[in-house]
Formats: sequence, C-alpha cells, structure tokens
Amino acid sequence: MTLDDQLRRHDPARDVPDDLARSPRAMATLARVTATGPSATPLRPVRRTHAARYALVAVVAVAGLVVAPILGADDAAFATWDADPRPATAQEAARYAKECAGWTRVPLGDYQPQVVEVRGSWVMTYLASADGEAQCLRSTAPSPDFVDGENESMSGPLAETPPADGLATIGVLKTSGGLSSTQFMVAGKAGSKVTGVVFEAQGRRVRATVTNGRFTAWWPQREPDNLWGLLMDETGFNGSTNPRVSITLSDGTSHTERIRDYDVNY
Amino acid sequence: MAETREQYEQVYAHTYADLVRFVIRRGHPPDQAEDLAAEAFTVAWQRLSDLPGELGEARAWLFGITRHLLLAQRRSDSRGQALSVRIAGQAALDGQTLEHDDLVATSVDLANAWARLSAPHQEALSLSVWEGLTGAQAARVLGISPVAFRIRLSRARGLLRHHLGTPSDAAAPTARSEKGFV
Repeated sequence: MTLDDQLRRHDPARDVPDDLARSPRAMATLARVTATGPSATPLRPVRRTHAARYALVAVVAVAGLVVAPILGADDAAFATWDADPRPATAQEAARYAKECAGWTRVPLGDYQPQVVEVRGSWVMTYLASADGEAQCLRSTAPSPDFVDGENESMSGPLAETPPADGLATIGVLKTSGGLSSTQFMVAGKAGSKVTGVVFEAQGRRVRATVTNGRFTAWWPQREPDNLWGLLMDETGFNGSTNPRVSITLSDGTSHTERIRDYDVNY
Repeated sequence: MAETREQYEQVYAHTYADLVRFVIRRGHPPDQAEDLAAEAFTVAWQRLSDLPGELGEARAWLFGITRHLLLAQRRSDSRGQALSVRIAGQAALDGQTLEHDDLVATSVDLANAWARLSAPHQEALSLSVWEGLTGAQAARVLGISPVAFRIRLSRARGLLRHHLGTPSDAAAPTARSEKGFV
C-alpha cells in the first residue's frame, strides 16, 4: 500500500455522498443562486499600480463616524448598532484591550490599543504592534446563546506601508462564526497623506477611524431582501465585500477605489 | 446564455459534493461546509463568464474560489495564505489490504505524522491525493507556479514519510524556504 493509498483511507470527508448535489438543500441553493441573472461585469479586480509617490507629511487622526442612515432590513441583532460611535472610556478601553489581546493571543505590551469605539451595545477594539494587528468585535448584551455577549476576533501581520495616498490591508473579514449575524471588519495601514476613509458598503457610507497611520472600520451586513443584486455587486471574488472606498488626503483632494485594490493578498 | 447556464448546472451537479468535502477537510462541520459551498457557487454564478469550459478545470477553479472564502474567514493565520487540513483519525475499513490491528496502528501513526506537517504541506497533499487535482490545477488553486507546487508536494511527501518513521521528538529535516519558487 502506498502512502497515497493510506492517505485516501483517512479522508475526513469520505462520508459525504457523491449524490449530495441532488439533496433538497443543494437543489434549493442552485435555484436560489440562479434565480437572478449572472453578473455581466467581470469582477476580477484590476490591480492598482501605485505610480505616484508623495512626500511624507503628518498623519491626521480622525474619529470614526457613519454618515448615512441605515436603509433596508437589518438584522435584529444589530438593532442597537449606532451610526454615531463614541470613544470608550479609559476604563472600558483597558478592559476591552485586555480582552481582545486574550482572544487573539497577542501580548498586550507589544500590542497597544489604537481604537476602542462603542456603537450602541457593540464594542470594536483594534490593537496594533510594530508588525501585527488584532481586531475584536463584541456585544455587551448577553443573549441566550452567548451569555457573555457575542464576539468575533481576528489577528494577523500588519500590512506593508502603503503609498502616501493609499491604504494597505490584509483584507475585509466577513465574520460568520460566533455572532448571530454577519458583519465585516477591516483594518490596516493608511498612507501618510490620508486623512479620511469612507466605505460605501451596501448603500451605506461608513467612515473609518484613521489614527496613527492606521485605519479600521466595521459594519453589519444588510439583509439582502430585495437588495440581492446590490449585494452581488459588492461581493468580490473571495466572497468578502469589496466596497468602494473614498480616500481623502491632506490637500483636500479625494479619490475612490475598490478596497481590493489595497489588499496585499491580491 | 442558455448554454452557459446549462454548463453551470452541469458543473454544479458534478462538483457540489467535492466542494463540500473540500471545506470539511479544512476543518468545518458538514452544515457549515454546505453554506460555504453555496457561497462559492454564488460567486461562480456571478463570474459566469470566467467559468472554465472543461469540467476538471471548472472544478479546480471552484476550489480556488472556496479556498479564498475560507482564507477570508480565517485571516488570523499569521503565516498568511495556507489552510491546515484535517485527517481522519481512523482509516476507512474496506477489509482489503491490512489486518485490523495493523490498520489502527497505521492510523494513529499517520494522524500524528500528518499533524506535524505545516499547513502548506497538508494543503499540497490534500489537493493532490484527496481533491485529485493535477499539479497545474493545484498550483492555480494555491496561486503558485506548477514548479513550486511540485517542489512543495515532494517535500510534503518526504516530511510525512520522515514523520512516520521517526519519533515525535526527533528532529525533522529542515524545510528550506520555498521563496523564489513561488
């Protein structure tokens, strides 16, 4: 018996039947997916070339703000999601920073809290070190399934330093585990001339927090409802959202790209 | 359009179970795996014009989409772009080749050896052995060159054999950097 033969005998997915595509669930999925016309526009992003380089200038910190009201049917879990965040108190920030470091298993000394913001019953914490970042989202409201409040977290390497007018991120995280609904989290580095970052996500304009050369934002997924086409339009190749992002620079000019153009993984 | 839709449905029927298996091997329970497969097929429908015409290539293309979905969910892997792959703790019992006692011992050894592999090496073996892709197809799924995949797969096999033959505290052969081949 060869090594490959032995491995084949240990396939953890061997119990999946070959005719699974004919199951009611699979058939329903096919019907749902093909109920709308396929996109006529190829979605493969065109990688942006950062030809322009600018001299370094001071970084301006801007507190996060969502500037447009939420439209459509949002998940009930995010009924308290506040369009106008408030900064956490010092006591809250210390607590949530420690908690986030624990969840993501990063050393709190090396990782310092960059942003701790509160939207209704939701707290977003962003930690960063010289070469890494961690982002946590948690509800402060207990629920039957999450007696300590729902939460989601991520950590990873800090992206490369972007050009002065751009961003660098390791992607938009679409969360679906640990929380009763889906939301999107994004963080990374902002170029030295970047003073404002606003995401256009599912009909909303979500202003990111930009501070100390970093940016971070999150938003709940809008239930598709009759916005299915819009949802499809903003779902990128890897299934995470690929919203437009408007970047304002210190000279007052702004430009709009797709966030995927700044994803270092693409 | 009708022809393309028919092609999509044919690909769906042919690869749905394979996509669910692909996700399960990467650590998700079957129910979540079907959710991921549905998401991948949604993306594929959205990008219908990119759907490869040949069934095997379309299957590999869908694996690539699914892998990106999984990576997007698991951004916390600080090593970046690799997904660890599970192995069954026990072999399928078809009674063909080994005595039962031998099989159990082999399963334990193999599971231990597999666990010592890095995620990129587990992925390489999975794509080749379980997903059954050609080297070129697997390379496209991983976004690396066919040469790099061949090297990675060769190292994965070598390391697995090494781990099967040495106790867990023995030094494994040094894994040379694959940078430059990727």
